[in-house]
Amino acid sequence: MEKEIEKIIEEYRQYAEEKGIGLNDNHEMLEGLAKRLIENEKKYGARYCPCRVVKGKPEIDQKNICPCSYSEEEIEKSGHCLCWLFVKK
Amino acid sequence: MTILNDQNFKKFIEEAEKPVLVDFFAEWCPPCSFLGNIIEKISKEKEMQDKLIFTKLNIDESPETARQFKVEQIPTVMLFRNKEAVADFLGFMPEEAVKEWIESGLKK
Repeated sequence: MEKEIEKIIEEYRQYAEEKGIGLNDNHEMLEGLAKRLIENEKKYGARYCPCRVVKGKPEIDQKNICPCSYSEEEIEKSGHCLCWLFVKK
Repeated sequence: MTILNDQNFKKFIEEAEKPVLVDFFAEWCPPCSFLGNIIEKISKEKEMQDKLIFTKLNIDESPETARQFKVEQIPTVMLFRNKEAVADFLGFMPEEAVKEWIESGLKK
C-alpha cells in the first residue's frame, strides 16, 4: 500500500505542477487522502473524491472523480479544494 | 460530545436549551478526522460549553438525517438554534477559523 500511496501522490503532484497549484503540505492528511482514493478506485472503479458521497449515479459521480469538476473553482475561491488535497500556491 | 443518530436527532435538536453544533462525518473521510479532533478539543473548553452543545453524526450510520439536510460533502458542520439550522460550513477548517465561525453563527 505504501508504494501505491507514494505513486498516487507523485501523480497528483505532477498534475498540481501543471496547473500551477500545490498539494497539501500536511503529509498525514495527504497520505490519508491518497489512501482513500486508492480504496475508492478498488471499491468503486474510480478515484472518487474522499469528501463526497458516492451516489451510485454515474452522471453525478463522474464529476467527483479526483481531480473533480469543482476543484479548480474551489481552489480559486477558497484557496483549496473541498478535501484540501490541492491548494493554491 | 453527544452522538446523534436518526433515532435521537429530531428530539435532541427540538429540546436543546442551547444552540447545537452538529459535525456530520464519515469514518472514510480523512479531513473529517482532522476536523473532528479540532471540534473535540474546542468542545472541552468551558467557555464554549457554556454557549453551545457539541454533537456529531455519522452519515453512514444515520443516512436519513444526512439526506434530510442534503449532506453529500463531508465534513459538513451545522449550527442549530431554536430548532433551525442557522449556519453551516463544508470541509476542514483550522481551529481559529472554526471558533470564528461558531462566534459568528451564535450571533445569527
